[in-house]
Amino acid sequence: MLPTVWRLAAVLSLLALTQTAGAAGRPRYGGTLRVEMRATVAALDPTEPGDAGSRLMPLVFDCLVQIDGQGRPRPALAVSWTHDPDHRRWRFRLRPGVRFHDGSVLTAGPAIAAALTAALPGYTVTAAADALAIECPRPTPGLLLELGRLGYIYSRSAEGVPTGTGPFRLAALERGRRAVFTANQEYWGGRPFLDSIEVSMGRSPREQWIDLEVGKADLVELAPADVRRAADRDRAVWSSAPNILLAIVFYDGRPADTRVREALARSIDRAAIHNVLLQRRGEIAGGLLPQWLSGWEFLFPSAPDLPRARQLAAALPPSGRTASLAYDAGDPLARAIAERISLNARDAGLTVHAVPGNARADARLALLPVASLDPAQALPDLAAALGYKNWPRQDRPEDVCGSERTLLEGGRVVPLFHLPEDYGVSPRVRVWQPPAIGRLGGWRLADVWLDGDRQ
Amino acid sequence: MKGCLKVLFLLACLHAGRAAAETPEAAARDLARAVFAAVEADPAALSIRNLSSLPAAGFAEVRAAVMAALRAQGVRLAENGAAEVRVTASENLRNWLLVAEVRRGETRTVLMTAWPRTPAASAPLTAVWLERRLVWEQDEPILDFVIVEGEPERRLFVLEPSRVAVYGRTAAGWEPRGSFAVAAAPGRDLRGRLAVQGNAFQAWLPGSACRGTIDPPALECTAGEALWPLASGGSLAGHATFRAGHNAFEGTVFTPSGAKATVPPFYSMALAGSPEAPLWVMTSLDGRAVVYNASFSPAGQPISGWGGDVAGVEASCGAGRQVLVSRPGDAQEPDAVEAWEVGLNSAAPVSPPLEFSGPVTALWPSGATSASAVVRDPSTGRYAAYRLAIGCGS
Amino acid sequence: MTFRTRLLLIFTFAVVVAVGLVGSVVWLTTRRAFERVENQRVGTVVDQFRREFARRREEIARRVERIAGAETALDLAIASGGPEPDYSPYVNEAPALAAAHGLDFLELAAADGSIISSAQWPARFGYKAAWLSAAGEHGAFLQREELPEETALALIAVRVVSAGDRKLYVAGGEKLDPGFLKTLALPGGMRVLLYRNLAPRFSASLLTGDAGPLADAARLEALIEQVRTKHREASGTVRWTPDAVGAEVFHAFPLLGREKNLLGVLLVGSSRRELAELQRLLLWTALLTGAAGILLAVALAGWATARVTRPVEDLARAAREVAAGNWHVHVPVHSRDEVGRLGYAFNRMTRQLSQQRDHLVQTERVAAWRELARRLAHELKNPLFPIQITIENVQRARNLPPDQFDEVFRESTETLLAELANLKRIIARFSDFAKMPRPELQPVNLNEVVSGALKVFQAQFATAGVEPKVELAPNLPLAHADPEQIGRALQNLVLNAVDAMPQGGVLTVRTLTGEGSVRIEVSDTGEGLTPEECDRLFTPYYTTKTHGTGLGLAIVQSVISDHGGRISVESAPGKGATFRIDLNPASPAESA
Repeated sequence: MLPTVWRLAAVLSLLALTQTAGAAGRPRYGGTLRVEMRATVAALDPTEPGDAGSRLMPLVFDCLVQIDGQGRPRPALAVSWTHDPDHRRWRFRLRPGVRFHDGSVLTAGPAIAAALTAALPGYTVTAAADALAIECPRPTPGLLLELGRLGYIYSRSAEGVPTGTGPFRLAALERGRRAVFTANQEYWGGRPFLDSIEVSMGRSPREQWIDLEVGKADLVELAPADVRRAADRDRAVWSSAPNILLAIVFYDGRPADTRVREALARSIDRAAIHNVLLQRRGEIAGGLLPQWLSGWEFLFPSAPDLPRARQLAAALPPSGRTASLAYDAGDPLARAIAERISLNARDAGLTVHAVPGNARADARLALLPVASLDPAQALPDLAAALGYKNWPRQDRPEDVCGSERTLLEGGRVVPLFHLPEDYGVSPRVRVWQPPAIGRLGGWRLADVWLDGDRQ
Repeated sequence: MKGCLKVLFLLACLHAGRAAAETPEAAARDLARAVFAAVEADPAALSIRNLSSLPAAGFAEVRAAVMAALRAQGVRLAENGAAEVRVTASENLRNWLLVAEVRRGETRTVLMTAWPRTPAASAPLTAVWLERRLVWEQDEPILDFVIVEGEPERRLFVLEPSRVAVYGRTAAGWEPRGSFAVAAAPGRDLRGRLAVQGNAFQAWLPGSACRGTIDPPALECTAGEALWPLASGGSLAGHATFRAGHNAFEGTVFTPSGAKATVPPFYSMALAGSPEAPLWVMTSLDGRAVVYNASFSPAGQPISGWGGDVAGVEASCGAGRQVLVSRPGDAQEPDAVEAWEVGLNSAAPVSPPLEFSGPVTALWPSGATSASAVVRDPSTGRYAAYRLAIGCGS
Repeated sequence: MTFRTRLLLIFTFAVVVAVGLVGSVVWLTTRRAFERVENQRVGTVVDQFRREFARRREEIARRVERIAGAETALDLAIASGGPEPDYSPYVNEAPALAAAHGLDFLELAAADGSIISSAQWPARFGYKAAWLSAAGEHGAFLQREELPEETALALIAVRVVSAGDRKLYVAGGEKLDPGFLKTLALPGGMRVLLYRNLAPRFSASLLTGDAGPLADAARLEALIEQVRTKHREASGTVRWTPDAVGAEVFHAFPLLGREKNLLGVLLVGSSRRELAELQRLLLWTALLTGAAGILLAVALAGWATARVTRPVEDLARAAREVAAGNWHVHVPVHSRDEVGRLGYAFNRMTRQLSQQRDHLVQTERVAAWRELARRLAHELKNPLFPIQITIENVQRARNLPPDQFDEVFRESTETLLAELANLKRIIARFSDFAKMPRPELQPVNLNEVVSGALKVFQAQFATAGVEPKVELAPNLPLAHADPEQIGRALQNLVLNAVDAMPQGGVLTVRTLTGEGSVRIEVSDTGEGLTPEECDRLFTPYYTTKTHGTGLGLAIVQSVISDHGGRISVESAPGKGATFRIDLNPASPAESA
């Protein structure tokens, strides 16, 4: 005899669960995922990824290794690898039986070697039988991370169009407007659950939100303020790790007096911006690399120091207490942050004009993506984005940390926040092997499936 | 600038010429050596904080290790020392970090040591209506596992997408005894079954069926769509073909008596009802569970709200047959397993849910009152194998 | 200046003065009336504007009241409690509410004044607006609002939402900017300007109209300063352009804040353009009408004066013709007034004068014919008598011997021939007088003519015992004359003078420059002439001599007259006589 309480619970459970009929634990095959994004992609070529293209790239192209959510390399097109004790010479054994989308078989040939050489300039790649050998110019323990990020394997058709081995084929690309991907039935990792993915480009945040709300889109980008709104409406939110550095980047030589930069940096109340404007999304940043990536970000101060900022500003001539800060005119959040910084600066005695667009300004509010899961590589990449060419790469964590401090002491950049890339997801979207959004923002949609669509 | 504290920022290279520490104790020792060098003979005011995801117990161990290492190194600790040492436990993707900031006069030195992140400590066992026990954890997906009690030792067989790994139980834990490579047809939601009897074992994977022995180590695999066993409550209910490249059974079922029936494709099955009037409960691809009678005719209303995985058990209470059911939902969400009793026109939970931190990726019966469950931790991506037991009474 | 012109000027002057006087009086009266009406209009509009401004304040207060009464405000008030309230979900509430209620400014603030959400400056969340607690829940008041790039003026109303012991301030309003000014309904020709009193001194950049910053704002500085210093209304006129059309009358009102501090000056401007253009139209109409009237009056005056003066002018012309010798002139008489009677009298006078002259001429002609007959008889009788004697001698000598007869015949024929020659000469002289040739005028040095003429008489002077005396003026201008005819005339005068001094005397011939003429004077010291003789001296065939034809001085007068000159005589009995010939000088071109 069942206890009365369980009978009651059974009825209630049935009632409750009937309302979510259609939900199921096991993934189902089929359906079209409708994705919208603000950026536009003109072509999908591993040699010219771009910020938006780098998200789509994993749909069509595979690397030798995959980097999982914890930053660990996993076999992909390479099933195994070895290296010498020095981490200079590496050898990868290719996965047998893999076919490109055009039907040709993946072999360790000169085309693959050329693709890798293009992705890793300075490295020597040689192909032999079913293996690839990579010789690094210096000891490179983080080679797998780099291969998982940049080392897309492709072959080019006679027309020069790159063909990949990825879970989806690029079926159509209307430049800057729309792209359609269809499932690769022969995918070595198993056919994707989805039949196809339709990506609409150039959609404004507002349009994306509306389309998600009315059921015209399944996966849209979310601004921080929309994350809370999405949560309020019971929408799932997928996020990357806080991988985008929002920072003030000063243009070379402006303003002339570096005390302005320091006073401005010390006047900013990041916590208020983080709590209110960013709705607590992301992390307050004092350093360039996020804490989750480096582990030492907390060493760099991020709290405001208004007395010191006032002291610095007071020491400046009145005419030198001004600066201008440019922000992306199409991004309301950037404007709000720039205006808040301007307000903070006013408290310190500085006049900072927040100016929209690409107006000639002293500094800009920049979004700098952290491009590598290897701090040793991510820092020189960020330095390059800041205009420091050939910033020396360090491999040991302590050296990377020191290098980061040196970069910050240059005064060209004031880190503000590390922000994640957030996506709003329609209720019918499920993911079998999370995360669908990689730590660095790449889309892993092969494990996404749709609840409600039948195979 | 006058009046301003001149801070000289130094980063110490602790690992020059040798490998990083492997354990927190070793990292703490390295750090202590560096701290000693930085403070020289001055007494130091020490503070330790945790910015990592180490649980309180783990951090307490680290803290104790640091304190012990500092004392062993001869660092004099005092509340108002001339030097200030702040140690922070931190982490990044691959390592745990110990970062020491040493302030001595106008000099600030930062010292850093690291040790690799290791699997988290075993979760404590919980005993309620349903009982679970963590058996094994690993990074690779676990499709099925079997524990064999026997001589000379307890053995754990773990079926992975590319191998069958065998572990032996020792005082230090499970230790590898060997592995056998298998090959499954490519699939995103790979599933597999493992059966062990004595020295021999059998593994079923999409598009492949293998048979092997431990001693001598041997394995033979046959490619193609093999019949998988359908078990429930420790007995064989029948066989069905698992569709290669997909994650579900074909709809053709062969009963032990040799009868053949055709039903829609299903993810998993369990027997309910009574031995005299068995009911086949099959989770179909539309998210509902369909109940069939012994002649495979639909019986009763389909059941909604279940996950894709069910496992039949036979606790000696209630109707005698229970169905362990996973929860529907996203694979990023915490999952739960609960026991239901299913009749012709009724379906009711009979146990409180047994909560897991991640989704249940595999749920197979492993005996009359036990089942195997594999859970993926969404935060770490690791797979944990649980032995579930159902008991009657409190 | 002619009488007619004078009369016309008098008329014109009279008309202009009259029109000007009337026009000025009408102009001044009209202008005053217009200005009175305009001032009344401006006053009405300013009152309307004040009421509109007050209405806007109430409207703002009502909108803020509505926001404060809404569910959202209550939710926020409830959420504002607790030790560490989380306002982040509400950061975008104010912009949305402000947009929904048509407000430029809206701030939601917690009990301690911390801004939860701000529409006008979204970045200002978390900052404190301390003034809120002191604001009170009244109507809208003027408030100085800090914005990211400027300081603005706003009409703000504050309401407090209470939820138990928790409070939420709702402060909303509208910005006083060109957009706000545009919404204030004003009649044509009027405008509103706003001066934001945000600087210690007047700054032109702080003055805006409904179309943005005002050009040439400095012209309003004095008026604004007046309001700034006295905090009272003021008015003044600003001339944007030199002419009256560019004038604008401004009424300036102080805009005071909550604490009675001057935050702005509102200027209501009324353009004088319409009035000035109307006045200009009137002026031009008056001027054109006046000018046309004056022109008409002048024309009429001209016609009238012409009508009045034409008989006078006719009389004057007739008088000139009479003076010129045309005594047959006749003036038309069109009226019976004084001028008509004058014309009638004139016509009668000329008629009588003409008749008298004809009679006189006839008398003179008879006298001349008688004189001519007498002279002719006298002249012809003189040779005829010897002829008669000689013929009679011959007749008598017919009986003489041939020798004697021949002697007598020869002597007689000689005498006859001599007398016949004398007769012929007499007839030739009369013929010469009749056939006086036209002079051939040329520049002539009269000194040379005088010298040449006198040479002929040197022997005669000696015979007659006349002492010639020549006084020739040096640098005598050349005369415009025929030297031969002038020489012959001079010889006549000299001969006359010698004849006038049978006992001898002094003959003086002198040349001199007269008044616009070149003069020759011939004086004798003879017995002189009576005035009657002087009057008739130049009459042909009149002579005082016992011999002579009496044509000499007549010929002289004829010659001088043909030269355009004048001859006169001055004499008294016993004191000799002086003849003066005045000739026209040669023109400089001729002299050259």
